[in-house]
Amino acid sequence: MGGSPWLVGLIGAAVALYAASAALATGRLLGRPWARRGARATLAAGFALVTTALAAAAATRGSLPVATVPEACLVLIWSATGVYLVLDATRAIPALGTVLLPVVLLLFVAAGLLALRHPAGAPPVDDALILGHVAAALGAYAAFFLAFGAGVLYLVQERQIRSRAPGPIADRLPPLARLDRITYGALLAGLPLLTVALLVGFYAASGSLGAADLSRDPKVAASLVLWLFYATLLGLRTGGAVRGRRVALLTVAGFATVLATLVGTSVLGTGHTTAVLAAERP
Amino acid sequence: MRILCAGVSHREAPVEVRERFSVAAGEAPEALRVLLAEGGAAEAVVLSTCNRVEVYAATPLAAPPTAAEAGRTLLGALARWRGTDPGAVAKATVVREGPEAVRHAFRVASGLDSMVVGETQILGQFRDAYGVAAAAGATGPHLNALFQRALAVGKGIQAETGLGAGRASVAGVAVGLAEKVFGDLSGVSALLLGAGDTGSLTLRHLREAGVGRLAVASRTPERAAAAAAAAGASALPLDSLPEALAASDLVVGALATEAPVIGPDLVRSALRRRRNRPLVVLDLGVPRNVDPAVGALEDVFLYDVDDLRAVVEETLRRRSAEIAACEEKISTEAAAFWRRHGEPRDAGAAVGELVRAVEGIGEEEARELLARLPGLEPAEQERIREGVRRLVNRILHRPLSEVRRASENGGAGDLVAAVRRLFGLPEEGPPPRPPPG
Repeated sequence: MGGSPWLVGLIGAAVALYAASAALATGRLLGRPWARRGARATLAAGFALVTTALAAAAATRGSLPVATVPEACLVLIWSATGVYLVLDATRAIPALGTVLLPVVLLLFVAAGLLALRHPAGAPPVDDALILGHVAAALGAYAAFFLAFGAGVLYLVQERQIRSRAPGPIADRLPPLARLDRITYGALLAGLPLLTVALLVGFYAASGSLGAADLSRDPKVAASLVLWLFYATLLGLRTGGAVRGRRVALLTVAGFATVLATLVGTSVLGTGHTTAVLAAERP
Repeated sequence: MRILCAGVSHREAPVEVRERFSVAAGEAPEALRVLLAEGGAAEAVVLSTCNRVEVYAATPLAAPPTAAEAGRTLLGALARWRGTDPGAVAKATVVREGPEAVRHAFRVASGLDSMVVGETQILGQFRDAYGVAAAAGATGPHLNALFQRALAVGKGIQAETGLGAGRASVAGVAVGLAEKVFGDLSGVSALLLGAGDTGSLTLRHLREAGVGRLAVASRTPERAAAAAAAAGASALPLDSLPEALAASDLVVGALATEAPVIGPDLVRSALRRRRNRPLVVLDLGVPRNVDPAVGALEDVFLYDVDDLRAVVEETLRRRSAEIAACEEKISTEAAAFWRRHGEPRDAGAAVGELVRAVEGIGEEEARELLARLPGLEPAEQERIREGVRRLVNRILHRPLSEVRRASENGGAGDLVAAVRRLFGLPEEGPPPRPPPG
């Protein structure tokens, strides 16, 4: 998103608000009355700042700011936060913020470090197919992120109940069946989006990159592994072969793969996005 | 006005005494009418639960002269209406007045005065009692303010402290555990093993908690059928356990048995048939109905009776730790309420009325005196008026100071009553406020 000082300031302020919201969400989970109202308000304010930053970057660029991994991280943060805010407002699951927001903060840090590593940025993404590929992939990642959050809460709640001495936290966490439904719903939404992202990505790249080039891209390989993993998980869950704790564990492990796919391959310097974009250009 | 709370509770009176006063929900409007017509109350609310029958009332300060008498008059009217002897419950009756009555109302609404401290049901009962009284037109500015504030305090205590957290009975813990796993229980199928007292009690709790489908299995089909019929459940023979287990989300064991009737193999098979949907097993039997090895299976949550009791004890321990802070908060809230709505309002009104009354007398006497002394210069007339004003002020100084001081220290009720009586001031409260919609 370039080095515009006011944009950097905007993101910095958003990070501070997200950090405050994470602390408040944790305080709320621990039963602190002062945290009850602030968590959602600070998160909404942080979300508004990220929205403003992305909108400003899009206006300057003339296209969606998703050409680099840091930008993609921001869009992922934005979409995941949006989904969470809607879910929290309609279903009131404040505990989810306790899990999701620290990871969001890590994503902010990762985005910042990667932006420092590749300060030059990348050419704007103005191809509809690439935009569709990126949007579907980020939508899938947001869904898997949500599944991860619900999975962590499931494991905590399950441990509380199994301990035979559930503490006050168990009263503030959602029931296991609800967390299981959220996880399953997120998987049901995420897998088709990932499938679309892969198919569109292959189609967009097939015209400019050869099959050999794609097979050498670790991000493509990681994405295929990711798709296979989630497809298997969803199949097993739908068939009832695995449920509850095992699904929760697998969604947590799955999101680690997502992070590796999104951030890890970029840290390794595969240049997935820019390679495709460069190849797209005459 | 005097704010009063008079009644009997589990603390002072056994159930045989409490039930003599008990007022069913449908009878409350008639009871309120009696309290207003014969009990000397200007405003009244009746709170009748399993653990207490209390009348909250605003009564005129002048008559009866003391709070104890006013309380006896209220409960006497209620007892006569109930057809019971007021003397039989007099010993167990407690009358609280003024700030003590306010504090008691706040404690009751918060669950601090409940038999199981911190139970949350009382707040709903408190709200219902007020709603019935308000709808019957039996409340006015005093009790409207008191009950609205008590409800807010009770809600705040429940939301912001750990007083109401957790369940405090074995059956409650069992239901709470099922809710932690399944959430809404309306879609849950429960199977009860055993049709004895424990089983029947648990069945009733599960029905009240909204469990969707209930089944009872017992060695004696007749007992199973009787218990099932009483709770709107279906009866099953015990030898259909494998099928019943596969169809149930919640299993409660309350069977008199020498050895476990549910083992890991049976549960494993049931889990396969239910495609690993979670199964909650609550073993209330002694000896145990369920092999402890079942608890190690994935997707199975097993609690035996000791586990459930341990949760109850832990809940009560946690609640005890909250009591001191809650009592402090309630004392602060009650004192603040009393400063704002209690004596100062009555004392302030009485002071104003007294000043106006005595100044009126002074002005009247000055006018009569001046009429009898014609030819006085205006300056001389003014000196006479000034003398009368000073006389009035000197007479009023001490009574007013005493009422104000007593009001600040929280004990002006009797003094205000005496002032109103001695100076013939009307017994009148502020203009009525409409009850909340």
